[in-house]
Amino acid sequence: MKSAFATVLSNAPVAPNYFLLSFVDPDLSGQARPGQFLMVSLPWSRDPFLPRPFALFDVLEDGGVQILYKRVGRGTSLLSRVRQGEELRVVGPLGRGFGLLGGTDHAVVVAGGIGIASVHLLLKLCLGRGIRSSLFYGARTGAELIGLGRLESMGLEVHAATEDGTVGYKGLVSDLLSSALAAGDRRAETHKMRAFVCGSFPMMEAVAGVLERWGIPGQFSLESVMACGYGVCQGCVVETPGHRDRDGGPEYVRVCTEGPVFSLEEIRWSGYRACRGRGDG
Amino acid sequence: MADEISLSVEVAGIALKNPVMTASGTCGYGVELAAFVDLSRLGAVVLKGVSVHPMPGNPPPRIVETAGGMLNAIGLQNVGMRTLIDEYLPRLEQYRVPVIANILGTTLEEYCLLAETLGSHPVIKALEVNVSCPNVKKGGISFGSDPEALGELVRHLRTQTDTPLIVKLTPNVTDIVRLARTAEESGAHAVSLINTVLGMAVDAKSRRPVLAHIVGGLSGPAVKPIALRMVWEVSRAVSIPVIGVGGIMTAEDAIEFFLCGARAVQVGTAHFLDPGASVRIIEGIYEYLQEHSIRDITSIIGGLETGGAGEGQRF
Repeated sequence: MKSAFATVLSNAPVAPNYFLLSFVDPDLSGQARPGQFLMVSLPWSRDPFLPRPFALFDVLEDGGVQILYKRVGRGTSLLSRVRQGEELRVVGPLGRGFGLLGGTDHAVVVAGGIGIASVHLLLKLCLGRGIRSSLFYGARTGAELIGLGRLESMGLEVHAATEDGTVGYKGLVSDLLSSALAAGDRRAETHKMRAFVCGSFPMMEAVAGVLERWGIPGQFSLESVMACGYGVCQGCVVETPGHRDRDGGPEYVRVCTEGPVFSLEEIRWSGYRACRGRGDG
Repeated sequence: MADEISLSVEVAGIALKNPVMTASGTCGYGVELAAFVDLSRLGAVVLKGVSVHPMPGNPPPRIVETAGGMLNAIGLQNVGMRTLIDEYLPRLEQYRVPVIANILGTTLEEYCLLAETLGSHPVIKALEVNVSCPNVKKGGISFGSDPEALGELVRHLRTQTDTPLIVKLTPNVTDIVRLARTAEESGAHAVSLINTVLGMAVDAKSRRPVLAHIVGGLSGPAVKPIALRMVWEVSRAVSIPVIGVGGIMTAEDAIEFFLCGARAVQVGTAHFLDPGASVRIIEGIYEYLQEHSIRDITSIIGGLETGGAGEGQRF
């Protein structure tokens, strides 16, 4: 974990409002674990002021690091204008990533929209370990299924869903997942599955419901408005279910440090909904 | 050595190797920052404020970015005095850096218990008193905005411990000089200023406040002009050391505070952009002294040349 300058190698659109930014940092590349993230900022920016969190999309053997991001607000708009050769400040790798405990025979990865950025490295890892991997990937429209062709050629079982039906199943990825589970052989299949999920709040809440019905353990990558990203400011917290402080009030954990990956049992969905801040990402 | 530049300062009886500390609430309990920097390089580490019992903090959203800064309504979430002593202080012993505990409470009794317990702990070299908390006995007005309550608090704390007391002043008052003088007269060894400035953020689309707590504290470059003015005015009014804090992002910012009379500075929000900020600032202060052929940091403290201008000016 460190704070360092990174020189941008490339920063190009891969779809309307989606960008892939790459730089070289062998330390970072070597330490990164699937599900971790980076805090990225322009060194002298004062407005936007704070860094922004980005999932580690990919790391390459030559020390390359890539982030895939969506332009959603002032921070990402500023980042999208950064050119090759310019410097960024990067802090990371940060957070508790996905846990691939022994016993995952079948990784069921569910991604919605930009959520693909958080699970991509996990998919590579699973394939590298010879774990059967299914990807349920949903977006509003076909153009926002980033790198679909490449994902399909990686050896994954890809199930695509688009809300407008331009590619794959017409509807929500949570419904597609539900149908796929129903179509398969319950007892034989589901007990070996482990799900890894990242997407919008409604998508993840819906997927959580599906996983609970099928008894499939799940890990979710949450997001939160952050300032420091490494645990000192306590700004990014979510409520944890079950824990109550001495006055009967909630207890909070940091999405940047105790997360961003939480298992299904660790998430209080009503609390997460309430805390979804108005970050100007 | 004749050519050596000295960054050493003494504040409230503690010898600091350099005049840069971390600001409370921006480096946790020290150990989190230790993952990025060698704490032994810092002048001092000021820990997240602790209360007698753990506090859960406010519901999220707790933070929001502003132009040149941020608002926070963390709600003083902390592990409590017991856990600080049992779990965190032992881990800080290994670093050759003075550790300053920040204490907070809502009653005189709570502050006194914290002072007595933490003040006698060998790892703690000074106590910074957060007086921005509501005084429940006086209907919630903060200790730091009520000279009578502040005076009583500081006098009581002096009887609880011999450990140096630094009173952290709130800017959300009409006359910070008066509060600073009260702190000095009541026995504070030093004052640190400023704490955050009260502010608010609104989401025009949802027509709701952005923070769950509605009001938060502003920090970062946006508050530096406010902090500088208050440090300047307070330094001219008291004899005890003044520790300047508020929007320091660079060594040059720190130098501005020294010129205004600060004996030492605290770096806070800058750590959120770069955990190495305080170390970078220490190096920059050294370079500034080198460039200007200044041998000793103390020689620039209070060195602002006003030449008569500014005094008595009205807007």
